[in-house]
Amino acid sequence: MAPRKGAKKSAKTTKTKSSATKSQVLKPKTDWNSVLTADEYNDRVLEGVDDEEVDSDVDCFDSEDEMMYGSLFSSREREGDDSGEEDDSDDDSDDSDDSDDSDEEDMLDMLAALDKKTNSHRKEEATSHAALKPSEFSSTTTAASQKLTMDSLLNPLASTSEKFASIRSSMQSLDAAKTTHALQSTVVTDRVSRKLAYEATSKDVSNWMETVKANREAETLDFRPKNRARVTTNSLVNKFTPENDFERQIQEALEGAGAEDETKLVEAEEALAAGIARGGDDDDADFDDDLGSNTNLTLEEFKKRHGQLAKMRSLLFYEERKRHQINKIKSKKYRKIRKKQNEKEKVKEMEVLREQDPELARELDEREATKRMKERMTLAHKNTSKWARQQLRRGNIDTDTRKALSAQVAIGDKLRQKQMGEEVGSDDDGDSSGDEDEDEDERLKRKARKVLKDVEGDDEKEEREKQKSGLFKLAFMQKGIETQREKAKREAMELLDELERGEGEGQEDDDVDNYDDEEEEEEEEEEGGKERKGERTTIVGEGIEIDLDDDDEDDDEDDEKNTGVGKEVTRALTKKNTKKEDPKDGGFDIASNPWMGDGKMDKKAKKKGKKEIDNSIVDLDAGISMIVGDDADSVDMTTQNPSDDEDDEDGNNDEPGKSKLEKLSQSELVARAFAAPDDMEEDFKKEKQALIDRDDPNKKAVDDDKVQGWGSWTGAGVRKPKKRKKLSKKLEAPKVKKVKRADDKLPTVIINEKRMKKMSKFKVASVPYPFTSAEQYERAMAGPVGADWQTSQTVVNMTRPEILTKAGRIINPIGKIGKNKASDKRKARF
Amino acid sequence: MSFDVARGGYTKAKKNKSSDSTRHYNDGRNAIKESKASPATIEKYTKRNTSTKNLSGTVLKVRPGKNPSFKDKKASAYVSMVEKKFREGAVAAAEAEILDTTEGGFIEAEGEMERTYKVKMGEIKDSVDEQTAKQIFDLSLTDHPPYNVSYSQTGRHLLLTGRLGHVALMDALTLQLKTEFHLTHSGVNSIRSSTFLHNHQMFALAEKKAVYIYDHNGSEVHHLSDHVDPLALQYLPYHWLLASVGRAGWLKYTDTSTGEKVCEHRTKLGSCGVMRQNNYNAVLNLGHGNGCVTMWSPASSTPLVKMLCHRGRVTGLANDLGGNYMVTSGVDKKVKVWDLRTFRPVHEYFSYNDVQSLDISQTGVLAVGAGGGVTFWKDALMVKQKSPYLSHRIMRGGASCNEVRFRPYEDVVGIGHDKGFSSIVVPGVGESNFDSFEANIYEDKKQRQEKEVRSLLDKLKPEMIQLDPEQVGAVERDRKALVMEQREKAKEADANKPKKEKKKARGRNKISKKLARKHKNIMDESKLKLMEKRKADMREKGMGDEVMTREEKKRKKGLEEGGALARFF
Repeated sequence: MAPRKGAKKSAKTTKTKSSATKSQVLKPKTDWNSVLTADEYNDRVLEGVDDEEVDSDVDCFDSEDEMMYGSLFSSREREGDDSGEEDDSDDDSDDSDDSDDSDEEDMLDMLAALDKKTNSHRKEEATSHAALKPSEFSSTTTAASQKLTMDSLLNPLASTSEKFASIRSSMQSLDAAKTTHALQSTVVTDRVSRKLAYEATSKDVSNWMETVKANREAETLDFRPKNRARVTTNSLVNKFTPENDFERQIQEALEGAGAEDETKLVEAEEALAAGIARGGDDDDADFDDDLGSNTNLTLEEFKKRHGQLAKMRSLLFYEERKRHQINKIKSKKYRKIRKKQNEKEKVKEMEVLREQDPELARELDEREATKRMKERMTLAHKNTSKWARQQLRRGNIDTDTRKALSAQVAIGDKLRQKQMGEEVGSDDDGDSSGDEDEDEDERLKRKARKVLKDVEGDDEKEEREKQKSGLFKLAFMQKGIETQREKAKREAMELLDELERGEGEGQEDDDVDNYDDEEEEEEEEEEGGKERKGERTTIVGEGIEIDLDDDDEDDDEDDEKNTGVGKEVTRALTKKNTKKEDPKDGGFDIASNPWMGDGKMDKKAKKKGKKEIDNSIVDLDAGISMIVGDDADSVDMTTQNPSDDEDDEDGNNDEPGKSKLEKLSQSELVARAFAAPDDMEEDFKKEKQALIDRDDPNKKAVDDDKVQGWGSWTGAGVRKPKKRKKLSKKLEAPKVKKVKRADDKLPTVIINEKRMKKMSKFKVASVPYPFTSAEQYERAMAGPVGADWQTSQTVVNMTRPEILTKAGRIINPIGKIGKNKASDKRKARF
Repeated sequence: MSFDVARGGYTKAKKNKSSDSTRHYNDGRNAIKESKASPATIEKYTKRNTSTKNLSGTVLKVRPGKNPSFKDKKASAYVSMVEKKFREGAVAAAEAEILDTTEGGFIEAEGEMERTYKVKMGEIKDSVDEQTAKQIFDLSLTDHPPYNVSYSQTGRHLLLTGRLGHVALMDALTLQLKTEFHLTHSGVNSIRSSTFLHNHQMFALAEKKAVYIYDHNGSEVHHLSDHVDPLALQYLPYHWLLASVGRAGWLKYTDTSTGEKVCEHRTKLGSCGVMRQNNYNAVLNLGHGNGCVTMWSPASSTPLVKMLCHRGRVTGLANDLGGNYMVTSGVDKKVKVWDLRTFRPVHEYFSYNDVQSLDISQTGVLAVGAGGGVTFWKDALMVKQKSPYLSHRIMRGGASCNEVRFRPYEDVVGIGHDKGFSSIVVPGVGESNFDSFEANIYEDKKQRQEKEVRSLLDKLKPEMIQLDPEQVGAVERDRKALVMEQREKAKEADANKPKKEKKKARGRNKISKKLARKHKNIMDESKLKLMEKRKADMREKGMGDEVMTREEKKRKKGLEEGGALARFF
């Protein structure tokens, strides 16, 4: 029975596998628990390959077929089972034979089955197998347990004779020798190796999963070096050991002076401090240090020195301030004058130098001269300008142009002459270099005067008249000439002015001071000193007097007290103003309208007379008369406060109904007093309705028929146009659902729901990337981040970058976090 | 009577319901639990994060601390991470309040029979310290009444303006007079309203003719002629906008950093003299003659909200610091408290006297200036109060209140009236801890300058003003409209591109003609010579000295005609 069972079982397994892919069919039928080695794998695969055909055939099997040919296969299946059993029981060495064995056995079984002319039922067959008695004619094995193996074949020979010994031995050797397998196709082997490789690597990779996940989820990755040694002065001092001679010397010197130990140093310092304290007030410890830590100073000496030093310091400070101010002056004029002063000083210095060290002086002079020469040589008065060249190229030059050109040449010549003259050292007139050094000012002055004279001279005019031909005749040219003339005149005047001012002794300082003063004045103006206000504002004075003692009773006295100088002025002024002022213009134009006006002033005036007697009580009550608006309370309040009640009734003037009025609640009274409010509410409702209608898509536009002449002819004698047929309900546009408004339930409120176009630029058109809905995005953006709303720590926390690194630092490769747990292995899929 | 220190402000707040202990991951709620700060304080810092309104006004239901269960794992992880940070930030901010060393407090009654509103200013003056007592004073200024009051944002400076043209700038701390002047230049002297600009160095006055800006020395710096006949002024410090509304009912915004007019809106509701800003969203609330209150932004030419508040003219208006409540008063003698989140009245009070001015302090105390007195109402916004916290009669002799303003960061109230100005002390009305980055009371010159530059850099665009400021940076709900707009803009940009010049080879615009046209007017030597020659030729022909070239003829004619044309010849 056992084999049959086995056959059934294996058939089942093949059936279930049949639906799967071929690769799955490959799976070995036995249960393997352990991890396989490569060899084992190959073996199994080989088996699998053998089985493959069969297995695939099984797919098309029915139970009927099974009935027919089952016996053919049953043996095979049985064999499969057997081989499995063998696997379990036998050693690995036996496995290698399996495939051959099974082939043979297959054949044998098949033959046996055919012998029996298989038409019978499988069960019967099985029973017949079992019932069959062993006979010499039947070559089949008697039972499944009696298996045909090499041993079983050879064993009988062992006892027979020596003849077969050679065969036996050869067979044994064959048995013992390991047979090599036939080469498998590369597809198969590759597949297997891939699978194994995948498993191995996935195991490796899964070890990193945690690390990667943690890194991905982290808000920030910190790559900054950790556990940095903090460098402090203490750590440096403690570590210090003198390395070279110099350091050693210093160390020795320090130790010699008693600085090797901290405590000693402190002691020494304390002693010093005590000494200074004895010497006098210890304002300046370093002052004493400067004097070589001389603690034997007397108090007087110390004070004297201290005073000297303080004076020096203050002088230095003032000097510094002054320099600072002077450096800040931006005036061109000042700089010009300053420059001139410097030059003068330089000249003086040179003279001194000439007396003391003529060699050096000459050298300096030469240097200056070459410099000047170079400067002169590069001057442009050589008729080489673009304009001049153009004119010359044209050839056909008119007189004016020629004049201009020759003037330029003349200037150039003059300059060159000067240059030559300087080099030679012969001066013909006072204008040139000899006097230049001494009296440049004089020369300048003379020149300026000359220019002035020229400009102002009458004879010039005549010349100008003469010149009026050709180019010079044009208006713009003349204008230009005029302006130039003006400019020259102005400049000359300025120069003269400057020079003459600069004549006097000590002029520089004066000038400087003047500028300083101006600057200061400006600054003061900016500061807005209180004293200056008088000049600018119309009225300054003590219009306001602060009355610090708060007495409720003596207001009148206060009024009398408040009579400053400014007060009178202001009063006078207001009189003037009040005359001009139309009282209605000042405030609202409401006094005329009894309902809209507050009427408070009038009331006050009326009340004044009555109320003054018992001010203290009633007034306070009036002050807190803003009471809870319940009807009962308000009635109470009215009885308490008769004067106010009167005011309210003024509006009504309903004398006979006074008793009725008293019965009315306050709100009713007010409602009566104000006749308009109903209209207000009506108006508001209408306005709101109009707005709603405007936005309502269901509301039709104005009927076309109502306006004659639109869409039809009109006038006398024209037939009335036919009324348009109304569309049937089916054809009408479907009614749109009424749009909900935020103010639907608020009758006295209109909320504008129109989209604000100008606002749209501050909005995002679509939800930004990492978010998938507007809600997500808005929630993530809902809170404040800035330093105005959060603590500094929070701000830092919220705005921390994703990656923190230090420039120039190497970022180490990723490392594992903690222990790797064996996570679920994914199964390979090929 | 004792002056016990009782912590004012945020006393009650809901505890976070969803803080169950079942959740184990660290979502920041542990920090809330473990924090030393009270849950109420933390709530204060988280409340703005909890809900966002979208365009249609529906509130996205977002519960704080609930782990977002979005489909996308990565995004949901990010959102929960950010929210955790916000929660931790709120805790940190709440805990940092330990650094607020000064505490504010209200007057508390001892026993049931005592009433705080019976306390007189004299009593307070006797019991406070000397420095505070100095703040209680009266100025009798009877020549230019009534007086308007405005304090600078730091509360350090005080500007008094008499309707009839008296202007005084004072240091509110030292009580020194900084500047004083009288307006003489604008025919009719009438100052209707005043406001400081970004700091005390400049202030704007609404005068009869226009809005004028003066500096702290009293010299006129600017004349905003666009703002005609203004009645009320407001300055929006974060947007650098000066807004005015006047008799014609036009609301006008001017950018004070650039001097440009930003926009002007027609209210269509006639003369308007009541305007206050909502501190939360910089929306301007206007009170009109027909009892309506309208809310405005520069971005919209129609009011964002229009609500009928009173039966009759609106006389006063005030907003609380958080922007949740608005208080209005009208000639119907009612004072109404409105919740601006729902636009519904919370409750209303009744006043016998016409309310002239309203103001709400930093700690939420409501001041009502009506008739000759001012009453102060503590906790009056959320809960209806039966009696005031404090009351004050201005002066004897029929002075009536014109304007009440709380001095920021101090327990001081300034009252402008028609007999001058009174300064009183009302304990508990000022925020006791100031943020020196926001408003530094003791700032020096350098700090003031720094602040000026910084706030210029942080200046907000005028269009950002809207009811829900959280909408800046939000996702556009009406995507279609936005796409259309962008397309239009692109089209416009294309249209404005300069056209490429054609290279024509013939016709009147070919290149040689173009050049010739260019050189037509140039006078050069050759041309002059040509002219001379032509003249000579003419002379030869016998036309004598009267021969003139075409240009000369033209010139002569022009000179003869004279007038404006002459200068072209």
